[in-house]
Amino acid sequence: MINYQELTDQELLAEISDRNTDAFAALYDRYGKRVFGLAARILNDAVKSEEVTQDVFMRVWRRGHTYVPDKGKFTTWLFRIAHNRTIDELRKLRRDKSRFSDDITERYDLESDEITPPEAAVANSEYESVRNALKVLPDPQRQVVYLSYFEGMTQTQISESTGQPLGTVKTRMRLALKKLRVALDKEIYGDE
Amino acid sequence: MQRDEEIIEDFPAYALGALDDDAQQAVEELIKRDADAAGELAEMIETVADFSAQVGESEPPLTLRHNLLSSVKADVGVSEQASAYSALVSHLEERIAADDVVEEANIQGFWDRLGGFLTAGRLAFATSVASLAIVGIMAIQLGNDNVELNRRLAESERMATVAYTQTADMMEDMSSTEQLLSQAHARISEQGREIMRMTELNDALKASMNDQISLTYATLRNEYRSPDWQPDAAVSTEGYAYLLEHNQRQLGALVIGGVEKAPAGEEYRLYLIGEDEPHYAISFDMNEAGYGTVLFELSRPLNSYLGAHITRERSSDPPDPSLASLENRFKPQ
Repeated sequence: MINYQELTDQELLAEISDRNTDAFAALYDRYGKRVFGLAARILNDAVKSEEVTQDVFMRVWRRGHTYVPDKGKFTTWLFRIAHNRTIDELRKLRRDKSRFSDDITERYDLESDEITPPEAAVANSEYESVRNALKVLPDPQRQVVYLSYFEGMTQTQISESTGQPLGTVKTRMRLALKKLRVALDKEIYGDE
Repeated sequence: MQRDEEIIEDFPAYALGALDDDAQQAVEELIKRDADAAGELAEMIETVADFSAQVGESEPPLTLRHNLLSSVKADVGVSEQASAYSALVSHLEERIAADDVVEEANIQGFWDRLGGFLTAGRLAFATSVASLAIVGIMAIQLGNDNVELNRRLAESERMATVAYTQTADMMEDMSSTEQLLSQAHARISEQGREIMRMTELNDALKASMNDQISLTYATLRNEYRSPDWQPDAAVSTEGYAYLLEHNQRQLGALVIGGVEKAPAGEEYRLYLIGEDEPHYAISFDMNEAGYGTVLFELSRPLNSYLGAHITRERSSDPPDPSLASLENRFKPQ
């Protein structure tokens, strides 16, 4: 009798490739809450988040064999899919509801003390690592991360909305990712 | 056309999901041909994914797990059916191929035995036979497909029949329900009519009771006729007065007649005489006809009084129920 809880992600994925539904259930139990949590924090819509989570795991079921371990961790593959799918849904929702604010600059006024929705989501996160990781970013870098990661804006949209040159936005994104990497390594792996 | 350096500048945005489709495609094409660039991008993607994994957990609805597992199990079922069908087709293809080989061997033996035929003629004939064989294989294949299709068609027909039967049952149920509703509606209408009849009866009963009350008022009176009633010069000798008591309410009625209208500034007053001092009951005047009924409140049963006095007094004087006073005042007795 296989205890699927004890299998690694890759072992589970191998079983899933052989159409093993128990392995799939174990993988869902391992990551379902995080995928749903990610979608819920970005979409702020339980029903849509459920749809996104279902799509992500069905993709794991049907396309799990396309994951190549040499190219990265399984979680990188999984959360890449999850974030992309969530952002797609967010953009679709915005198109449908036209809920996009015309004045993004005001919404993300870094001089203001007002907490913006994604900031609130992260501030409320039970994951201290995320809070700590974001704390290391200077405000302008944190702004571009928020707008792209949590608000689904393209770098061009960020540039237009904030009035920053596109090159500046790109540079800030690059610097932000570097600092995030260091911060996450410290938080997750305890690297000095 | 973007230079590679420019595309590489877009890597962070790609990792954050912040590129439009064209720029995204350019990145994907670059990393196919540049392993170093691919490695750089992979690191950024990993950073964002690690960040995603840390954003937070939320408990999804329980139905989500159930739905997912149902979907994948159904998927497994479909795959198994597809595999079985595929195996069947492969098996049949092998059988057909084997038959073809036997046929070919027989043809070869035939030609060996005959010999001497022109090579071109043999080839033409062999080609024709081969064509026939291919057509035969296709026919067999089509036949197999047809058998499967027929099986599925039969299954669909069976399911359609079941669905039709279920629909018919449902329609029958609906018809029964409609009948029941119609019956219920008829009963409600009948009950409505019954309520109207009862209301009419109730109204009639009320009217009857009112009549009875009126009758009771008149017949069950506790009549008091003053024993001291005497003709007086001041009043008509035809005069009369008696008291009635309402049997349900604390009301008395003075029925009086043959008394002239009081002069200006004067009025008649009724005093009830009990064991103690007389009680002032009401002031009244007569109409031009000299008769009428005066209602007044009773604080106790009429038969608890010994008698009554009707006086005519100045309206400006307050009622004085003392016996001495009454004796000295006009009374129509």
